[in-house]
Amino acid sequence: MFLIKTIESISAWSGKMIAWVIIPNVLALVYEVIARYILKSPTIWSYEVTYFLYGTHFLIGAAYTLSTKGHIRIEVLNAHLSPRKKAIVDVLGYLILFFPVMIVLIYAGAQFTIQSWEMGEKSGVSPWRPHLYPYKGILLISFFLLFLQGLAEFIQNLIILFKGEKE
Amino acid sequence: MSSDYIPLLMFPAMLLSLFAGFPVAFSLMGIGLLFGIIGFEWSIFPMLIRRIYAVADNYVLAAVPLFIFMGTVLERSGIAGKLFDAISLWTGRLKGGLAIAAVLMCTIIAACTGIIGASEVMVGVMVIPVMLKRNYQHALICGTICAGGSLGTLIPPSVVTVVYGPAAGISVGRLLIASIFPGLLLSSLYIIYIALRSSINPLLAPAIPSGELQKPMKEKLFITATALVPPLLLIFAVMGSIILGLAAPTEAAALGAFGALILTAAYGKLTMQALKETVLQTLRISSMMMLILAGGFMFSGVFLGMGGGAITEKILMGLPFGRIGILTLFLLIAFLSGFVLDWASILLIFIPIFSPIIDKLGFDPIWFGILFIMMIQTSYLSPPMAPAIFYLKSIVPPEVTMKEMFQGVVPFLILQLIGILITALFPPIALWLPSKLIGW
Repeated sequence: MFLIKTIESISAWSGKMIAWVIIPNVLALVYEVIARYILKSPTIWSYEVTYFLYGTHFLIGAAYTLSTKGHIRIEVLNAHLSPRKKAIVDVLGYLILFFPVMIVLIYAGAQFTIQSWEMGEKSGVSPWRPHLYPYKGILLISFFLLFLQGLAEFIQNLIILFKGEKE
Repeated sequence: MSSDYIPLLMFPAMLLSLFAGFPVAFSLMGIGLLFGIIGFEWSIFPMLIRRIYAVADNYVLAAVPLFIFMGTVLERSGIAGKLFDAISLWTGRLKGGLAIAAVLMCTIIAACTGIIGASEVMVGVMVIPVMLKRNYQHALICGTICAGGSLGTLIPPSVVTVVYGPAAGISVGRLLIASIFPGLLLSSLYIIYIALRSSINPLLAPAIPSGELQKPMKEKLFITATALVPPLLLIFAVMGSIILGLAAPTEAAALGAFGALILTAAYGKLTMQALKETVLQTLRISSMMMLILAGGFMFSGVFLGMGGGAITEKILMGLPFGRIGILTLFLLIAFLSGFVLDWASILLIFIPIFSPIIDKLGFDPIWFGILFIMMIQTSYLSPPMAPAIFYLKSIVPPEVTMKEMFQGVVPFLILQLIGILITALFPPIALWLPSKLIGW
């Protein structure tokens, strides 16, 4: 199905890109330690850059993780269910739990970002004081990507449910 | 039933969703949202976003993916092979010597990496074929590898500890330092047990004939030094810089990851392909774990916001248990949950509820944290939801049966409980070291 394929490739692409963020995350922190003890001049940006990179990494990566079945499930009682019954669980789970959460997060996340932008909100932790709305915007994008991938998973489960097998 | 008790219904709802097999992270988030709407109507929406943001702007939690990265890089470094060659030179001639070597390797690797499971696979792949060849009893092999692998939960650095700190509102640095001795206590218990059992019944774990390991002392020392120095440097870079107060745990994690990259490159194992696979693996584990964390924060935020904490406290204080009884009950809940739930769910569901009560009862939160993390380590071993056995299955040949795996972990489960009991009775095992360090 075209829609599923498109979503899957968006998730795969975003995941493969964002996975590399771990490297600058390491390097920035190592640089901070060197700057503090060897150059005797700590950076002003280490604190925020660290959590910006870290949050971007795991949140944008959530859609890729979903598409590669990386979000763990408790498989004690459901291990012996037929693929069809598992698909029923997932369809219900997506409808009752996943989609409401994602819709709320996208809606509230948008407000959260817009408010931050309108207020000109800045981080108060370091002297760098960066604006926070771009980071909050990244959160919003990540919820949207996750929602899309969830949609693809949901449709795949519907196909299993009605056709009895995977497309 | 009064409406005060509504938050308590979150538990059965969540268990239903988890046991039906829906992903843990989305179960926690979804149940949080549904009950949040019951409790707070639409004002729950901005609150949920703030709970996720509290995870996403948390500098301390940024250590988690870094430790995961460090672990996935080290998995490819080949240090396990070098450690095995060196350690088995010294322990091989003892009865049970290979199993003892495996526990020692697991201890060292656990001290280098923050993730659970990494050491189990690294060590298992290396040691299991040799132990099978030497006719070690299958159950003993399985138990040793599973228990050794579980050490990564407690021995610092550990992602479990990094997650525990913010969930309980206590210092991650202190907690990491407090877990050093309890971790070593457990690995000593394992070694003592293996040595005792195999000297009582040498058929379980026969010694390697002394002729085979004969090497000049100089060569032995050289092999040992080249194998041990790199991991010891890594351990020092991470835990040393935390203990000396030179770096925050997050910075220490980055130093460790950087060191692991250099080490792997020095061993010639850091190809572009390997790096690509490593970063993707890191992303998947991090994202999975942090989403559960965000879900846990949402779940506990709603539960506590609806007065679930107060009602739990009221119920517990009404029980005729006394403070020790309640402490035992908490640990028992963690132990029993371990049979069916994963560590992150156990930690994130219970710790925000237990912590204030533990404070109120006057227990040291660091000490309780260590006991709880030891219990989580136990859950790593307890079937049927035992990650230890799940990893083991992927690395043993088919001649090793499920029954042998289950049999093998039982004695180590008992050793775990003994270790927890010792730490409970002698709190200084956990609390002495952090109390001695300046600046903590």
